Amino acid sequence: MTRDATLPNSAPRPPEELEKLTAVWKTPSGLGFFKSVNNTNIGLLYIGTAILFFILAGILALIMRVQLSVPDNDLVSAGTYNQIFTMHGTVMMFLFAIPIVEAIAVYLLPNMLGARDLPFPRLSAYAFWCYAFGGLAFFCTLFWGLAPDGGWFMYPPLTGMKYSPGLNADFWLLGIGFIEISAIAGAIELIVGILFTRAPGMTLRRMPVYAWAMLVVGVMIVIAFPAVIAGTALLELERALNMPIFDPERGGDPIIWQHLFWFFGHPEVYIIFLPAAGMISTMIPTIAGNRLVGRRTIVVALVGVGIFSFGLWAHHMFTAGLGVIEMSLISAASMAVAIPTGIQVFGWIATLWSGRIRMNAPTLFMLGFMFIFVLGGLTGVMVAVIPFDWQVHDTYFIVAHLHYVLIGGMVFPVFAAIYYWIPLINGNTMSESWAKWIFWLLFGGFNISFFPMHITGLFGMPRRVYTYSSEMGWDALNMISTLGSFMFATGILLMIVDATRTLRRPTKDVGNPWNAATLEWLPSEDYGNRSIPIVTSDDPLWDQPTLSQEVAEGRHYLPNTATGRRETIATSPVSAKPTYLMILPGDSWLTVLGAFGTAGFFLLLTVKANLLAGICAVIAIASIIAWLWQSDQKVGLREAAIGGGITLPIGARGTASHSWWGTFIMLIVLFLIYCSFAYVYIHTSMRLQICPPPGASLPAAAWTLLSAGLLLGGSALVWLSDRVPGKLTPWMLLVALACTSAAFGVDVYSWRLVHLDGTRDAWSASISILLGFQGIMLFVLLLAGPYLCVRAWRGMIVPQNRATRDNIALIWHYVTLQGFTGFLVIRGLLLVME
Amino acid sequence: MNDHFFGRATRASLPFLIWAAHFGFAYIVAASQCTPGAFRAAGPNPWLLGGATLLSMAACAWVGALAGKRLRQGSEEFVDYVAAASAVLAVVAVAWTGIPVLLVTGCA
Repeated sequence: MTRDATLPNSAPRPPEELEKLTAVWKTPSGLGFFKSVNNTNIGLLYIGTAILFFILAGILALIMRVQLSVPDNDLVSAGTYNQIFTMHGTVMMFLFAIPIVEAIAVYLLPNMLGARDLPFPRLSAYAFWCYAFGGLAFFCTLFWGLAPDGGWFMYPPLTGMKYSPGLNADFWLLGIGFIEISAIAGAIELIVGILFTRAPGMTLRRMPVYAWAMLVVGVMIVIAFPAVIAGTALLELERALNMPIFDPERGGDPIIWQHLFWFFGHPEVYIIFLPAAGMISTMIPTIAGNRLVGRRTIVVALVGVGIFSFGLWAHHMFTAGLGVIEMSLISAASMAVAIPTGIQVFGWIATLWSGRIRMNAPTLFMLGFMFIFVLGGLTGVMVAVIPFDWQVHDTYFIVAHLHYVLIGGMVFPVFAAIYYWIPLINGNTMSESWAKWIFWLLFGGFNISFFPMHITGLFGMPRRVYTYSSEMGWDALNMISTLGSFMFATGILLMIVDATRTLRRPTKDVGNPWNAATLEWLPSEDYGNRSIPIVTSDDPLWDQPTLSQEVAEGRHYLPNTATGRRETIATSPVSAKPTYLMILPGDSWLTVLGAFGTAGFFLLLTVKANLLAGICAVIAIASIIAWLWQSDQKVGLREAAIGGGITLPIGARGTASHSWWGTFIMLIVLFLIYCSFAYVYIHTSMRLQICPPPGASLPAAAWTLLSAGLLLGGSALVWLSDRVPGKLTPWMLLVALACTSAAFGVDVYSWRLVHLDGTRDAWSASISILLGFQGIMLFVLLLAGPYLCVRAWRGMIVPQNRATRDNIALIWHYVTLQGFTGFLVIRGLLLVME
Repeated sequence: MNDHFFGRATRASLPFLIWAAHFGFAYIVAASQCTPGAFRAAGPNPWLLGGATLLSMAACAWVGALAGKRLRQGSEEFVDYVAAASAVLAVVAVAWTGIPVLLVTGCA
């Protein structure tokens, strides 16, 4: 046995150590693979499913191009064409673009960060299965003529009950609404994973730029998605329960939808571009054999783009009648975001310039990305100029611009990433000779298809028309676009064939085929790296040349399973110092079952099969409770040695715990959904000449004070329940639950006294929705409170296992905070307006 | 959270947060002073918006100057570099979004 004093463990390791580690992390074979929750396996399923949706939505695009290839074509009817373009945009954005960037991150990040896995593998698995079940069912609506047909941004009043009475719009609202939930679950996994499971020594400064990009994107998803979740809920409430949020005749405003949708929709562009930028920043140094120029500045630019992108939402609304100053502010912000984006592009160019470029497949696709994305960015600055936007709004110029941005800014980098990282799967690289053909078919096909659309748009062709007259003079341009689209499709087909060939080849040693600097190229198995590496530089595989061998020999941290369960080292978020041993859950069918129930509930609710939907809801809730019950269990040990004389506690409590953070981020999402509803209340109130509107009034303040007091009482009891003898805890929690329930009851009763009617006008509807959301949170507490009591009675709340207790207490205090926010917003706004 | 994550994150991103606060404030003032609830006949108040712009630029510059001073004194903290670089970006962005306040008036 040899011992290097600079490394935490000696080698060779005892043989049984590896056997135990392998057994604990073993991926089930056969059908059992689908119950796997290991993020590396889920990542592969996720990537495959996202590519399937890319192909399906691409086929829809080809149908559209055939339809438009000649004038007065009748291949598809106007109604079918509406469904096809709506599904093309929706599937590409919601079922391909967002999922694939999250999927690649879920696949790459555990190894890139040097973790055995990310903190919530079951959450990732649940998110994936929700997406897969829901997405496939949603796509199948096309075959029954039930697909949504209002365009991918579904503007009311077109999508309201009056003009879209069928189920088509409901499928979009409920289907996409819950698929967004899966995106948020993925974001929580990524944020907490990046902050808590980095290898020791991988400080924020040393963290790979790709991980930085995904951290920024995770935060952006948490901030942006609640707005569209709120929007879809509001439109569905208007359609199903006649709550007139978007109906101007009853005090509503269709602009509310546009604000909510684009507050998500524009950051969404950056949510899919920034991961691509992160991939480029990771691949370019390898390709150039040179360190990333301006690495720290590029990180700042990523954060800057993420934040500035929230000031651009209304540049999709320049023709909606906004005030001139609002439009000018948005226009200016649209141009300001070009600065940090430009910093990244110049950083990449400088890295390539100062290195020795290897012209291989990833390089070709990265160069293609730069060319196409810069053109898309330039037309983006053009449409940020308001008078120009007025001219080209809703024309094919916009279609060209958005495809240059999205295909250039995301699809080409993803293709580069596939070529670059596919050897991680079975050690084989894709064919370089095929890659040249594929690249030129894709690059040429893309530009032949989409560049003419700028001109078609300037000639006045509106987007979304199913056909056009020959007299318009758009025939030749459309035919060229169609030919280009088939050239592009041929490239995709060849790429799929080559990828399939590559993945069917015998597995071989992965090695480090590109001589990359990042940790995902360390030797890896189901358990990740044999030992968890110590990182001492920005480019560890370049600066620590013996790292691979040391890690594989088990000389770094935790070369075993200390508890006999799946585990990884939790590190501090900034300086990446080991803090505790994080126990990770094992494989389970519960995540699949829970996702099946969730998807079934939403989809069956859409077709008004309420009984079946209810059964699915019970299945989903039961599966999730069973899954949670298995977590936060006693492990028999209080601490474990990981090597180097370091002994870590097992698990953590409060803000030091990853599960507290996961809950905290989920509550931020809920609070932002609530804020979106509060914005609707403010918007509808501000538009009124007299507020409250005739026939409506506020309840007496005494009721609000009573409700507030009960809420506070509930939270105080929860706080006290942690400071009394254990036997009293569940009883205090039950009294707290009674207080919180009574607070809601008092609130509802007080509004009933003043005859609040959510169908009468938008103002009343907005208050009903704020109340309803508080009711939903109470429902969560009605499940969580008794669940915690049962765990307390079973003796499962002990100092080492406090996550369940801490998290439910956090949710409880949040419900109180949300209630107070509602009181303050509803009453405070009227005081301000007076 | 034993390494002051929140404090460092806030310090590093403060200039961007100031930009966001300025942008949000300007948008809300412009929108609300053109709606019946808080209507102002002459349109959004340019003095209020102009003052907020100057104040925000000064705040970003101050954060940047403090971070720059620490860097010149030999600080190798990533947070100082991020604060300085984000201050430069934020000053430009606040100035940029403030231009409409000088050039545009009224609601229509």
